Amino acid sequence: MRDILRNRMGWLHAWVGFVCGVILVVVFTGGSLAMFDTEITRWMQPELSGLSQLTLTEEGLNRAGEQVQALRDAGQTVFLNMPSARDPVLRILHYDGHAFVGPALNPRDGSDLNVRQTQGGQLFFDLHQSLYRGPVWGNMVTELVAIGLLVAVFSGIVIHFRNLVPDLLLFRPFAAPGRAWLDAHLMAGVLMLPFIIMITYTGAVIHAPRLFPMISNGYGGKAANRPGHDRAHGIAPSAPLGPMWKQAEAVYGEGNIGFIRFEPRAVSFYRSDAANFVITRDHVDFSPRDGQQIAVKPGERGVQSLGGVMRGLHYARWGTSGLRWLYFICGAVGSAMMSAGLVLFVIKHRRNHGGTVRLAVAEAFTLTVTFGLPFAALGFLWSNRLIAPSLAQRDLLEAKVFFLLWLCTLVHAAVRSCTGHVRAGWREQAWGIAVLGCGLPVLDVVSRSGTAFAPRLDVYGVVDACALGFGLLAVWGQSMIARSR
Amino acid sequence: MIAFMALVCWTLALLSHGLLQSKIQRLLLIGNTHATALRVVRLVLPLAALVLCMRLTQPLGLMIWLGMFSLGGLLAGGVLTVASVRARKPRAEA
Repeated sequence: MRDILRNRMGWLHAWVGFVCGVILVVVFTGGSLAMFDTEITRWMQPELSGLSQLTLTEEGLNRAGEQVQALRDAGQTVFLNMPSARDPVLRILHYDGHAFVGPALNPRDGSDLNVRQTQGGQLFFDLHQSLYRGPVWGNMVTELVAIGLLVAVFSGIVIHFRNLVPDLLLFRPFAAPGRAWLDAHLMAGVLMLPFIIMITYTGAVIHAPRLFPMISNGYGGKAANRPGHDRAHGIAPSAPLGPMWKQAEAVYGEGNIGFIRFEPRAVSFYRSDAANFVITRDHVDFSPRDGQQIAVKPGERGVQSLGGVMRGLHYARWGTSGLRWLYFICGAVGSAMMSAGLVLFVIKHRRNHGGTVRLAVAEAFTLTVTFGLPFAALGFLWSNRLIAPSLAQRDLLEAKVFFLLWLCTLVHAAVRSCTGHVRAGWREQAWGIAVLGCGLPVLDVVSRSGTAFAPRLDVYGVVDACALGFGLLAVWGQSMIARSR
Repeated sequence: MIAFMALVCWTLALLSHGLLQSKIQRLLLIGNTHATALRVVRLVLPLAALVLCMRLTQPLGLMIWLGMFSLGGLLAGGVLTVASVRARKPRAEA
């Protein structure tokens, strides 16, 4: 009876794990990078590297408010993102269908800092939450694969229940390839189990309304920069924001204002997501005509704040940088664990289906999501520095470079798999990561030499160090592939 | 500092857990020595880490405790893997 259950669970784990795993590796890799989306965006705007730590002034906020008003008069729906420890500048942002983009302003005087336009780290956030396919279909697919992951996790626990605790730390790299990959898959899977269950469950709950649109609030996540889209167009002149900001800080505390939204009848100062574990969207409303405080509106409370708890756990915006690194490492190891599962699936089916097109397709997808995605992500960072800063719609061009590079790795993997040289394909893509990763710090130094480059451990130095680390890891990885049987 | 202490506690506890397993003992060519002490370490250190983490604000403390289990496990697994590869080399050369 127990063996029948294990066999059936084995089949379920293998197929659900592989089909969902191909997408889940993308979701986990994207999510890990999205933990530092703000920092990646800053790296991708090197014009900010010369800025010293600036404090927000009333004058700066008032001038930013005038620019927001001008944009609203032109028919754009924008909001104002306040400076924070992670991102020390004011930003006038709008949603372009994939990311929140817009000019960065000096918080001291509200002057335009003329940063290059980029989707930055938000490309990885969008890839993580909707595979860059929009808030309806993309979200629905990630929602389904999240449920698939929960199925795979629980079927995996049933299969390995007896050996789960004794073999917790058992890894034999010298064993046969199948056994070594299984050890790695099990060890990473069990050690990351608390994180994987938490992050998958909260992610699935956050976007659950996508699966049940008939009971959701109809949020469509449409792009918001089209003319005539702002309901406030031509209605409300905006009073200076400075005095409102001081009153809002008196309510939520100094430095706890996240962003300012502009509605026809109110200017709303929202409490920062970093201010509290539960994301509640508390806000203070002011009259846009005279700046008088209208109301303090608390977000959801009691049982209804459960959604805020889920979002707080999943996004970890309240956390310290140490917690974000913890999420990043756990996400990256989770991604590697799933890639090991994909490799196991391919090894197992190579015995019976070696040389078939089906297996070649499985091998190609495994290689493309495991090595192709980091290669394309590094290429995305390279494109940021190689595409002219003043080029029109350069943010879309960067995104195209990312997907084009990723497509190239898929074609390369398919050719190598179909010709029976998949091992060479793994090594070649690892070399690609090594070259782009190890070269990125050099590119950063060269491309920032015209600004105020100084070697220090800021976001630029850390992104460079991570790229170098992944590059060296890829060199080691390809040498292991070359040595393995 | 608390996170680091929790990491050390989890790493040592999981190392003890690993050294108590017969498969790992065979790989490392060691016997089942100091089993009682290892069992005590395996039991006490995670609780000590939990007590430390409870001094942080919640739920940060709980998340750090669980997160350090994962990181500590990776570290302990890495140490045991390196040790098992080294223990295997003399046998392979012989």
